[in-house]
Amino acid sequence: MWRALIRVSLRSHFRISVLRDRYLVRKEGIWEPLLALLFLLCLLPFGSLILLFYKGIYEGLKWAGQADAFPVLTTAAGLVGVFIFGFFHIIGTLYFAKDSEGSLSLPVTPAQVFGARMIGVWIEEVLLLALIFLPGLLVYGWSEELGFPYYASLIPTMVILPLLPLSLAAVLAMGLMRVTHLRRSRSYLRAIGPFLGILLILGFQVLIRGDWMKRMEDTKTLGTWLTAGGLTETISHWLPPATWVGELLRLPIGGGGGVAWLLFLGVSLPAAIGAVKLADWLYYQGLLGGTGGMGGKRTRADWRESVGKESWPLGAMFRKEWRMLFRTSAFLLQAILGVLVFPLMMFVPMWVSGNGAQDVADLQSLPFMEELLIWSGVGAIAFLTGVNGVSVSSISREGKQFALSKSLPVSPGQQVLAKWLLAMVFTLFVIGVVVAMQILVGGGAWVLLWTLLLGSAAGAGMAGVGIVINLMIPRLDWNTPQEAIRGGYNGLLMMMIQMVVAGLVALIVFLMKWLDVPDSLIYGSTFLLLLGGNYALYRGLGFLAGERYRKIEV
Amino acid sequence: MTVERGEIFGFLGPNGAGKTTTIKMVTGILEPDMGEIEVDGVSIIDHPVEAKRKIGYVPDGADPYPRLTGLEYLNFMADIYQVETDIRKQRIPEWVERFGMESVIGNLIDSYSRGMKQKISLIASMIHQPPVWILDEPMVGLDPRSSAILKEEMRRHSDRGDTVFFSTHVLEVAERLCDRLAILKEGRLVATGKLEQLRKGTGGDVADEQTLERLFLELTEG
Repeated sequence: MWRALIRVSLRSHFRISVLRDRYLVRKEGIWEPLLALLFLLCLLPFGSLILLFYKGIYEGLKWAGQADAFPVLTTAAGLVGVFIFGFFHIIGTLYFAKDSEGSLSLPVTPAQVFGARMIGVWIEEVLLLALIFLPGLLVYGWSEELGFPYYASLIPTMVILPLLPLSLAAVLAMGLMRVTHLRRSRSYLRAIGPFLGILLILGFQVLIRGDWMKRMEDTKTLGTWLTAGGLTETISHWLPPATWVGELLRLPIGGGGGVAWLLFLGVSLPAAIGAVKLADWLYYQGLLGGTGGMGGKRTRADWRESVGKESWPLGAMFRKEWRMLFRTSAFLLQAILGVLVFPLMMFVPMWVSGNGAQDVADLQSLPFMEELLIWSGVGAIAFLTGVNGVSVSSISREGKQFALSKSLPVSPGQQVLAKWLLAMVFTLFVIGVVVAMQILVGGGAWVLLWTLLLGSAAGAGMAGVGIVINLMIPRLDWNTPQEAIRGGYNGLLMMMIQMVVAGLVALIVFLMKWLDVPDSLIYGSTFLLLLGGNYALYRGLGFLAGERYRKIEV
Repeated sequence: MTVERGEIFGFLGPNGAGKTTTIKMVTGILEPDMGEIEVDGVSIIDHPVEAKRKIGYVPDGADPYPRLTGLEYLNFMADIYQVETDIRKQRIPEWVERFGMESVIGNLIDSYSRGMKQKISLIASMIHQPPVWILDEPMVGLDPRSSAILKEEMRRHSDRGDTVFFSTHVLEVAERLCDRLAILKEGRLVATGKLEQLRKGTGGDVADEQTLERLFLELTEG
């Protein structure tokens, strides 16, 4: 029973059957794993940054004579990270996946279903720990020149570490879903994750701009700050497992390490078993809450008057796209957050630090302020259009309904144009945010005009590129809406293309500057160039849509 | 295989025989590996938009856009098929009332039961009164009253000189409703013709008079 449940759960969680069917049976898109590998290689520089980050912290602690606190701090960060992100992951997996109710009719206990589903979450959290926190512990091992027993202990530690925070997060999630019976309001829970991310980013920004950062200007003061206030003692008090992990890694089995192992296992394993046992009382009740009845309001008596007037198919397709996006909370919040996250990151810390007026004065004193504002504004518009996920998920968002769209007597070119127009709505929103920021820092009419023209053209181009990417690599078999809107590798591919296009435009502008071409001519010719590119993209997209709509199967 | 104008044509076959795949090819959702498909004289491969305009399609396990209300979906389909305002103002309320959907027409389709989704898809497929009405397992999920209305509409559609092409597992429905039948097995047609022809053995490999159920079993087993 357990084996069958776990096997099915893992196949669903990691899309094993889907991928096997795609790459091994139907042999479609076999270049996609290679693309994934390429992306992983592109992440290597990111990995070296993480190593440098940990090395800096280690050196600071070592200077303060507190090197042993390093694994405790790293483990504590890992435990907290798994708890926060695991909470939303668990809610998505247990309650909002399309197949979440599939097991209700099976002769299995809620605890068995819960346990099987949680194994997928557990594996993902172990992988996350391996990516983010393992480098820290490796840095510690190298720096302290620790032997084989340390590295041998790392693997079981990484595997067991998520059990306690995931168990606590699961109990919290089940408790929350047990008491919130209104399914409609629950849909917002699905989308809270990105907001939490934004809060973390803003908090980090505030920290950087605040006095605390002054203490972290070099590794020595960092070490003093981390230890002088008893931070390690505080962590040990509130998160004893972090201390146990620190000890079991550092100390030999006979010299305190064994006791630490016993404590670590003695808390983690019962926590996991306890969560599974609790699932028998909490899981199904929360899953079923609010599912009875129609859940909708009664239709108005005069509904016949709402039968609309005739309109163009393109308009109808656009309205359909609009409603599908705006009425799916996960889609909408991700799109809006994608637009707002960077402006917030720039401006909120400025307000928090109270140096806004001085920063603006410094900016205005620059001789090239206009150019800086225009090009940075255009760059921001193009970048945010790409990363908000609207264009790069435009096909994927349809999911199963893509088959219905294919059966409609509207050409693929028109259908894709409606998606492009919807993406442009968000580009206009981005333009509004950017222009407002330019006005705040004293940008004149000239700046606003060129930002508007160049930004619209660049944004339209990026939206078109996003749709091309999604046409080539659609994901229609998603289980939760977040999978569709976040885009996965498509988002990364988009960023890479953005970098290439930005590099090309920068090169052209640089050459014109070098040739002493007047600024207005540079802006004008760049605008014409972007318009030409967009026209070519429009024609190409229509053709590509015709080809891909025939080939993409649901 | 040709389906004549004005006839009700039933498409039968065991699970996995290829009925839905065939229908998806006829409606332009799937691309055939070979061969030609014409809808009312228009090739679905060469002129897909024009051909699709002639079709009203109800998919198997209909699942229309969940984040639209029933009425928004019907308006959307009326726009897509370019139905004039006067006509849609008359047809939409008429069909909605006929299927008893008035009280939920303003609700999101996401909140509909399976039968309601089926009914809203049926209505949407008929707004433009298509020359070719294609229905994939249309009786599934419908209550007896709605099922009776649908059968009545299929007959009325055929009487107007338009074509009805539908797949079904309900042999009684096929027996009572269809002018002609085709039986599919493992992607191949094993019999086509009027029920009487099939019974007399002229439409397939059947030797003597039999019921449709026995015919079906004989043609699709082994």
